[in-house]
Amino acid sequence: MTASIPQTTALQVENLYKSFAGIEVLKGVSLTAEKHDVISIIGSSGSGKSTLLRCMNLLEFPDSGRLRVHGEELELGTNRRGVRSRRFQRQIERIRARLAMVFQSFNLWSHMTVLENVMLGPCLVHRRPRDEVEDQAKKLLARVGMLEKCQMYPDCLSGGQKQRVAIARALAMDPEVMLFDEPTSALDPELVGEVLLVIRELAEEGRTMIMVTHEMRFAREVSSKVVYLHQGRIEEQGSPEQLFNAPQSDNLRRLLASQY
Amino acid sequence: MDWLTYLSFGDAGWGDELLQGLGVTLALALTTLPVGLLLGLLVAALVLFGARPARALALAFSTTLRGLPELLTLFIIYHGVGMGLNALLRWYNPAAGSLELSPFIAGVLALGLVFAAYSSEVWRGAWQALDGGQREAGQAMGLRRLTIFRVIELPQLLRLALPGLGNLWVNLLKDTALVSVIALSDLMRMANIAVGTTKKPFLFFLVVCLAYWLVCLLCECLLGRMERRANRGYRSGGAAA
Amino acid sequence: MMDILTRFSAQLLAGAGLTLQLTVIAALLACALALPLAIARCSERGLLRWPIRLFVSFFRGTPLLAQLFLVYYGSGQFRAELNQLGLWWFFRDPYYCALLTFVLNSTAYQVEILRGGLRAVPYGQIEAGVAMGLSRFNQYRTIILPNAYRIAFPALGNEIILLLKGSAVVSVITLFDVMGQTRRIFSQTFDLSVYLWAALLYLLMTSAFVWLWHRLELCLTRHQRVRQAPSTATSLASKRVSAGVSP
Repeated sequence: MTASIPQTTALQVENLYKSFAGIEVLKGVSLTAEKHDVISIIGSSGSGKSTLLRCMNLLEFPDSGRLRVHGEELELGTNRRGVRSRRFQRQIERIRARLAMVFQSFNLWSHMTVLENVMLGPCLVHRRPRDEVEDQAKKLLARVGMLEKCQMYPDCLSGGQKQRVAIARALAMDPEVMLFDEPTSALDPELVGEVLLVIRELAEEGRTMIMVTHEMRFAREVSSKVVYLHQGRIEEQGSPEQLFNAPQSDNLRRLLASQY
Repeated sequence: MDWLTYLSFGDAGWGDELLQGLGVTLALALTTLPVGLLLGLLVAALVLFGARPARALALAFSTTLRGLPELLTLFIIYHGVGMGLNALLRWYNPAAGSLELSPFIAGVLALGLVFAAYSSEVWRGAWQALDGGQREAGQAMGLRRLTIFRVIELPQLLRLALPGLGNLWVNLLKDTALVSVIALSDLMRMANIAVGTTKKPFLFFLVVCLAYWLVCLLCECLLGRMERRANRGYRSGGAAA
Repeated sequence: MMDILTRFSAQLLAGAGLTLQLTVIAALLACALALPLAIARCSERGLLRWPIRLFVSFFRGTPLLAQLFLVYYGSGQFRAELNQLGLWWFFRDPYYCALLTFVLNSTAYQVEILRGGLRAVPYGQIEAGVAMGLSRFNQYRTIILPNAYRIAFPALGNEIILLLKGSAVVSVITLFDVMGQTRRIFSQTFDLSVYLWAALLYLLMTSAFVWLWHRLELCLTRHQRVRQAPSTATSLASKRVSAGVSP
């Protein structure tokens, strides 16, 4: 498996370890996302789901492990000193530019309009011409139904609207893989639907996505693969039918029972 | 070694004179503090609860004094109050000689007014941050307004106002240096005199700076401790500043 | 009372000119110095952190008057050395000494204010930039600094007002700012009203500045007030992204 990576692999992590202040949060997690995969990571809180996602684009730095994105490979943890080096930093920035992230708390830039939020990445990271970026940004905002608000500032928007803008911002980076970190957890119940609708459309058009979520029913409907994380290890993974209809692990069974 | 003799105590050096000056500086600041604190509290109370003209007057007082250089306020008080007193004296007794306002009193008055203007803002902020329900709880119990203020509001006011007041205290300490300009024999002026005879300006002004610095650091340390003490039992308080 | 004004208005206005000049130049220079220092002060691996802390603490913990004397009179002790270095012309001149002192003093305060602003930038917004692969430089330029300056803006205005008022101490080293002119006029006339005119002049300057600063702040924080920016801003919007807030 390590020898040759098939062309269809979009993102692969191997043997990720991560601990905070002596507490191990990830204990050797390996996960592969093929192109067009929609992977949902589920698990009770504290199971390390978000940490796993944040390790994938190196917002958290794993203690050890390996990361492959689109032909770039990173051996992590071996060269702690090298982390600071310029070359390594550039490599990380390249990788991050390929993995767009949607945060639980939106993290829109409050001093920029909606349109400016969407345009910033392509302009500064991809260095694409401004007119082209603006056209594309407007198209993306139209897709998530936010075009008419494109001159507003984030503070004027509802949570659901903010998250839709954040998704447009992520899409504007034209990413290989989209990472969603509990995209609906900070939303009022009545606003969850509009965001899930957008994510569902993205899944249907074949985007590669990895998503940490508590929305079990949604995970079941859109995912091609579900991963159950428990105490820093992958305890079970497979198709949604397998996991939701015939869970093998007791822990997973308990979690599912508590959800319905 | 040369430098040390300049700073030694006794006839040869200026150490004892400087120390005396520091004493005057601290005395000035410590005398000003209660004047400024009480006057500031009064102004804040007028702004918050006063009748309309009183409120306007209090606000005008605080904004005006905060907009003027401390040095100018000092000169206005020094010359103004001095002249006023003399005029009053002559009106009472035309034969009386002229009277000089002591720089110390002028300093206390001027710095006290400035401190009052700034601290009224701090008091006001703290007062507005108080939870009104506690006052109501006191009223519902039949406590008198003044009692409520004394036992319920003031202790909490002190806690809320402490960081701001601490800042103002450090500013006050530094502002006392200005009073040397009207010939108060404080630390700054003693250094000036020493420079006049020794021709070592850098040495003496550096010592002055270091002395002020040391006092300010000590005060900050002390204030930090007081804040921690005052915030015992409060969850969100603490060393936010 | 009025005749003082008619006789000496030219002097007082000239004094106001000097006061404003000293304040504006010192504030601008300090602003330029404070930004890199504040960033260095906040960076995690900072050899510079301690020296900067010491610098800030010293200039915030000592009276401006003492600092001014240290620079202006104190430099006299090293006259021969400064002459050799060709710097004596600078330290001989009370104007330059005052400017230097004010720049150092205001830099110390501004570093502290900016540090607070930098620390108050919501971390999530920085992280969103990091996750996108923005370089460190671009993170600062487009996200961190615009936010930090907006947060620090009112405090920076306060600091400039304090500087304006503090500049009155230059009258002690023979410069004729508003305070210096006022003292000279008083010593000639012994008319107390000149102090009141000076007070009025200072109040005018400070309140004009407060008004100006408030207008600027409204411009900078429109994202917190405006429900919807006018639709004509579409073309402008594209420029604003890269512009950020220039220090």
